[in-house]
Amino acid sequence: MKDLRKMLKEKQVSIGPFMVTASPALTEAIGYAGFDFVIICCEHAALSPYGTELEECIRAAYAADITPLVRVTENEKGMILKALNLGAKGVIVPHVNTKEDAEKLVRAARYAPLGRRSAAPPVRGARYGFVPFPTFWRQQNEQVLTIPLIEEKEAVQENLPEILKVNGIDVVFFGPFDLSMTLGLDGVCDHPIVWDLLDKTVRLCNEKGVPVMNLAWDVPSAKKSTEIGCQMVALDVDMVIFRRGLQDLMRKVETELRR
Amino acid sequence: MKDLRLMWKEGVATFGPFVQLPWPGIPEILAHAGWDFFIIDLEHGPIDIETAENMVRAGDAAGITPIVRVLRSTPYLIAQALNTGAIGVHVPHISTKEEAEEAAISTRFHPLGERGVCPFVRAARYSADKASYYQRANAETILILAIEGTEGIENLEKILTVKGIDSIFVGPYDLSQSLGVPGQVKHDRVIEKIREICETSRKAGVAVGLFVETAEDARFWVEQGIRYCCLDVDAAIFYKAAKTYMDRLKKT
Repeated sequence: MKDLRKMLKEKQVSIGPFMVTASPALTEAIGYAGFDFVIICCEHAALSPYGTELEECIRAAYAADITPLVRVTENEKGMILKALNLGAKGVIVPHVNTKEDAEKLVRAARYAPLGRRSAAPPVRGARYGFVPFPTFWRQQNEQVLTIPLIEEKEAVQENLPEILKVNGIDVVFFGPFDLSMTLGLDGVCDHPIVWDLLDKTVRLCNEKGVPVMNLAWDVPSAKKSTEIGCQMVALDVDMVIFRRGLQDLMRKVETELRR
Repeated sequence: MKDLRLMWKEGVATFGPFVQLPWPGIPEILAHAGWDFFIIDLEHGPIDIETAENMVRAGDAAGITPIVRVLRSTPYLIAQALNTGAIGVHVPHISTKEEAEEAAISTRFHPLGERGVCPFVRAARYSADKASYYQRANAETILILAIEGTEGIENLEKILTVKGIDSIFVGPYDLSQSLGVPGQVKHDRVIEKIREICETSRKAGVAVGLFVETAEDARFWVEQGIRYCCLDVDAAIFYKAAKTYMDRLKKT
């Protein structure tokens, strides 16, 4: 399993898709395909952020040796706790708009002294207690990636400098889709204004030593993101990858079989 | 993950419980505790195939060898069990050479057998494995045949002539009955017979398995030659630990 924190330190780019199908099998398939991480999405998928299905998806990532990150549904400490207890290597929280939102996230994701994550030794992440709790506590505080999604106008254009002051933010995730909506650009991610804001975000974050992740919808947009300076790229969505495969196949059927 | 076949060849005894609790955390916990394998029991207990696949996945995640005991010896049930990615299949109630042959053929792909082919299953990494799948599967899949009745015991030598058997699992109670001492699993005759079976099987390159319920019994039978040591059942292990706990509480 890739150590994303190490890759960030060594300035290596890491890439992985969103998984919205709530499927342990597809989580493994993403791993076998060679991606660096998978983002198990509870925000938009039919996947409870609290339960057994999430556990199976995280476990599947371990089985296929791909690093699991979890995007929770909202900035809520119970969800963040569950994802990390189940063994997620990082937590992505949507719609972080203010310094207070960011502080709330860090408080939920980190054990004391930095945060107030609730402590329980016999969880899956601690190998059901086989990892002594002091070791687990230290590992978690050193390794877990705390990732706010800044995806609204006020977060990106106004509050980012304040958000960056919060101790314990490991990566800033730039969300071009929601951002373009709040900017009145009707969900057009590939817009010069959005790219310009990504550029400004990267510069601002890098000044504070914080790496940036961007959402990309194809290889060119992923490439452009890394050229701007993003060190992590959330590339595509399993459902979209599947849809595209279906469309490619159907196109061939139409052109080669039904002519 | 332990290579059981290699360990058996080198004369190393291996230990794993039957698992009947339908929770993928169990294989992970067993792995962390250092056990060699676990047997997902689809013959007894409530586990269905979907949960079984999640449990095999858990075994892979934690590094413990997954074996599935199928409900009965039928080609499609054996294929279904192996399609989850399980390394071993433990087939119950084998009594004749013909039954053993059918199980062996169902367990391996051409040229060794006629296992049902589907390259899209978890065992084939959802088609990521391509052509290497069949070779790898044939090389790593372990077949365990359970000889549980008097007829099977009588036919054991014939059964052992079947190619592709990695282990013979013996039911000690059935064995004791077939030797005229029903229930006396540590009767001299039973012990003598098991030693004999271990020796014959060893020569045929086959490890012998037995179900035991305590560490003391495990040691005793390993000394007689048992290598596939099926040690206890998850629910019973939990019960015993919980009971010990409660007894200690009552004393204090």
